[in-house]
Amino acid sequence: MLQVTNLRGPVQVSPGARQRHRARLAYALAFLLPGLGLYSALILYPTVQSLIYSVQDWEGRKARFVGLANFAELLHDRLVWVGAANNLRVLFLLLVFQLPIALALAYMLSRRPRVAGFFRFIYFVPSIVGAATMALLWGFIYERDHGILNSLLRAIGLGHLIQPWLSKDGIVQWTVAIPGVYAGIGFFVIIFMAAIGEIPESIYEAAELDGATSWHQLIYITLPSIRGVYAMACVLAVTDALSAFVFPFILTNCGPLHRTETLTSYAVWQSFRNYRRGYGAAIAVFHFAIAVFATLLIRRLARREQETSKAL
Amino acid sequence: MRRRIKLRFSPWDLGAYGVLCFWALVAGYPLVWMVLTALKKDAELYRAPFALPQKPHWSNFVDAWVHGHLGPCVINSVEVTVLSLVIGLGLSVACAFAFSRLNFGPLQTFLWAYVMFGFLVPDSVRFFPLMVFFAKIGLFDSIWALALIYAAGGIPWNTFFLRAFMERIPRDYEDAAVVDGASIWQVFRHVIVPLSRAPLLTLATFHVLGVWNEFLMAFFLTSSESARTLPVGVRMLTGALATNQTAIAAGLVIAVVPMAIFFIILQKHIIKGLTAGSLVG
Repeated sequence: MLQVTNLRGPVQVSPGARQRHRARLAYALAFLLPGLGLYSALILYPTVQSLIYSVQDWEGRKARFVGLANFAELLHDRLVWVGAANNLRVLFLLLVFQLPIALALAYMLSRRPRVAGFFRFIYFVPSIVGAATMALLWGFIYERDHGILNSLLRAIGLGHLIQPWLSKDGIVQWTVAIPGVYAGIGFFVIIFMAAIGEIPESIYEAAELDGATSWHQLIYITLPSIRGVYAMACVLAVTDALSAFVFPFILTNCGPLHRTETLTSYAVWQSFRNYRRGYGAAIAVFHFAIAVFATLLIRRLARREQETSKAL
Repeated sequence: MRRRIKLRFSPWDLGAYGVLCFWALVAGYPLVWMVLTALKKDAELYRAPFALPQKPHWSNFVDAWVHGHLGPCVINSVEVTVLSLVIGLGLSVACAFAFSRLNFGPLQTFLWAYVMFGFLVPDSVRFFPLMVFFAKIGLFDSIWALALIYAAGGIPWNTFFLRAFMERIPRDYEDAAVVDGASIWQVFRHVIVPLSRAPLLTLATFHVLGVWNEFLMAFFLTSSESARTLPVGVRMLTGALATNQTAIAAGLVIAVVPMAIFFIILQKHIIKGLTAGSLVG
């Protein structure tokens, strides 16, 4: 009989042990095969396929090998950099507004346990709405003549600030980025409240006995204690910013004149609307490379933060 | 020990409540506005965007449901979500079991890295080959294509999360089962899976929240009502109901309601799940 107790043990070089190892491997593969099969077919295979497309030029149904020509073209394509800049803009808003606002709200709520549940509920609601619905709702907010924002400005006597929020160059790049930043705040409020809740109350009591003000407690206890979780939130922000797509796609169709493209939407446009699947794939691969680089970099930084935070 | 209960408000406290209430308004008002607008006639929206509806105008919901074609989308969304949930979690829990409880040598390290690679692949790289692939096998514009894509997309994270949990289950549990003559399959089925119920529930809520709202794949892999999911149906509203803005608002309400019910019923689990997820990640 196969002994599960031995499944983790070191492999001994005796005929019986080797047989057990074989059986173990067979069992493991039986458990892994369905999952790995689906994963290979729908994650890995498309990735490899895109890598192949990216060195080809497609005309109709015929493909021609063009080497790195697509990548050479991409480096001089202004719209690739417009897209990258828009991804970067989202990242900026996430890091400068979303996470700090969420942290401030979470901190204030964590000090007021009696109302925390109520506010947390309301704050989280925009996060369940879904990007497509949220985008249309912001369409109502930004709408030029009867939108919430312009009507509000008119009502409070700031009519001179009224803008065509979704068509003016220089503004629209920001307005399409805001809804995602706004919708995600409630999610991070929950995450940060959980992290703050993990801090033992006794530390605060000790600090209070030593005469620390609540300001000191925030600076010297709360913030250092949640560094690890905050670092993880930054990792998520990078992932979020890199995959920005739905809001510009729905709000402005990535216009006017491609001004609100992101890397994803531009890759999509080239392969799907402009029928250049080779070039679109090259942009996607470029996007992929940036994503890998940025994710690994921020993960490494975050891990260092988490270790420091644990050491404290 | 709880903090001293403060009997009066300090100025700092007052400011904090001000900020909290302000954000509650910012987070909640657009949705309240959406519901109110859904009950108005178009003319009312243009005349007084902030006023209450004079008299509830329910036909907007009928327009959104019928002319906005949201009915089939809701059904498709439910089907895709349930199918992908069952397939995705089922496959992931088996993978996590193999990675955490069966030590199978050098291949393990390689296969683990192979699965974790999936975290890095963005949708932009996958969507076009997937369109070509599903068209080739005749599943383009089918809820099966979406269900399988979502199931596969969840494998890296689900496997990662479940493995982290399973590694902490003490060996004694399975030892006891083995002494009673249980096979590996029985250990999996009757010991490990039942013990993993809590993380499975957490992952299920994550999965539903993510899949229900997914847009990009749903948009590019469907072309008709037969497979269109709710987020795509919502995007189509602007075209279908261009002359009736308040009916679009009604469509948005319809799109939010299922998730709102899901959230209200499972609020505790969702919040606990997000918390647990953040601590593992």
